[in-house]
Amino acid sequence: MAPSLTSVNPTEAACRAASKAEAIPRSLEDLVRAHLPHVYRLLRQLGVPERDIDDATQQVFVILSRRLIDVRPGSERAFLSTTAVRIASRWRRTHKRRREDDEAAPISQRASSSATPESQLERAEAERLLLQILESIPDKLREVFVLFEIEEMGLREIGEMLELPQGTVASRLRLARERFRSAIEGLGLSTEARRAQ
Amino acid sequence: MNLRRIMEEDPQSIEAQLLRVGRAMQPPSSTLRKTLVGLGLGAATVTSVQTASATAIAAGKLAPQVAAKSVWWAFFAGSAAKGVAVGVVVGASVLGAARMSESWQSSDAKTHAPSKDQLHRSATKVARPNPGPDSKSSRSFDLDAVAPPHDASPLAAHATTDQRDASRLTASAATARHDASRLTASAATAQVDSSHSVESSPRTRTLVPSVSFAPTEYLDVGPRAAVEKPSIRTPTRGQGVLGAEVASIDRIRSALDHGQTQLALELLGEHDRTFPNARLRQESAFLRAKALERAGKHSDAARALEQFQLSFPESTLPDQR
Repeated sequence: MAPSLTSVNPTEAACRAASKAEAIPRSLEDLVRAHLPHVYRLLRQLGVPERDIDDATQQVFVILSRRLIDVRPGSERAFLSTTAVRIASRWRRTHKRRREDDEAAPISQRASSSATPESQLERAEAERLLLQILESIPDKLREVFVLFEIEEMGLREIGEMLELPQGTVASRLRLARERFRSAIEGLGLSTEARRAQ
Repeated sequence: MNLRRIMEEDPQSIEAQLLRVGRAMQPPSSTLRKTLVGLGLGAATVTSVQTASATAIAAGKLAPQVAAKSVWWAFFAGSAAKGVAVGVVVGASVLGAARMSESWQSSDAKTHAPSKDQLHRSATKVARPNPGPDSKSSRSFDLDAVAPPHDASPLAAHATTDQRDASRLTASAATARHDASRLTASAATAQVDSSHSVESSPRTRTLVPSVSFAPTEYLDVGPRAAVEKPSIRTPTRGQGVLGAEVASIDRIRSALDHGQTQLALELLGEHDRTFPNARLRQESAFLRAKALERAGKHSDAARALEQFQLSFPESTLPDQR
């Protein structure tokens, strides 16, 4: 559509509008600081390895920065979640699944400085184990599982985000739980196994 | 449909414990830092502007005062405004010229004393950015002019030895260090100690460009000339291409926000050259239309907008109300 240049100058109107939109008192830096852990968790748990996590995280926030004027205040988290899910999905498509060397690397750098070395190692090992188990769950099931069980989103919210009916979300969640539990059992770590010992 | 979460069903189970670990996962601090740098935000912002204060400022008592204010303003802006730019300080060429005039008139009033008009023209000529043979008249300053460290001693030497000849002074000042003239340093700095000049020209690395903090009492000699044009830097290893592109767009937007339309257009040109396969074409195209409009180039702006709408028919940028 060619712009009309006769009456009101559209460029200036657009410029004014854009300037107004830019005036929304939302700092990108504040949003990064507030939502980075959430984005990081999603990306990691949806399969982005440690070595690529910085790039993937940056991609998510670059997209937010580009679309910030379109994102309704208060819905940044949902926007970021959707973006992170898509980024992770794209990453999985474009990268061969492989056992990343860095998966086995200790994650002690993330541990709290007050934690003892033992607890840091335990936590690192637990994180590695969780990621390993999640890796065994098919992608579509894993997305729903992570969003519901770890990020504590509701079924409706997940359905809107992934553009799926709630029934499908619930079905995928049920299947994902089964996979999750069977993976734990496969490692001899299930609660029943522990109790049996 | 079971809506209870695993952690609610049996908080002590292995499953729940693992999920609890998942919820507690935190990014390493380097991720935050890299993300902020990639976006051109934060203290470690990618943009690096070398801010040069005026050199060879005024003579006599004025010089240290101006120098002190210049340094103060540069320091204040650099340290206090995270993500905000620093402007630069302008030399007091007119005052310096006036003082010079007094000096000449008292020492050699009968022979070579230049008229006030001559002095005024000399000072004005030097204070104005020196247009090189290739430079466009619309350019108010040149990045190259302020990049190298400038030493005012040659200028001072010229002025000292040629006090009696206003025309020679003008020639000396005009052909002296390119950067000194760009910074609107006064040509009449005959008595400036070169050490003062060096001290008054700190090179400050700051964050976002195009915001000028300068003492307003010194702005009458052309603050733009003292503002260094921020460059769009080639992305480095630590900064992704996309991050550099975002930072570049931010600089252009910042220039527009501060009324530096010409600078914005120059940055847009540089942006296009730096990022031939830009991913933020939509933003740069829209900002170009915006800059052209504000520059008064309405027909160019209309064409740019038309091109923008043809290229990005789905864009919501022009539709925001």
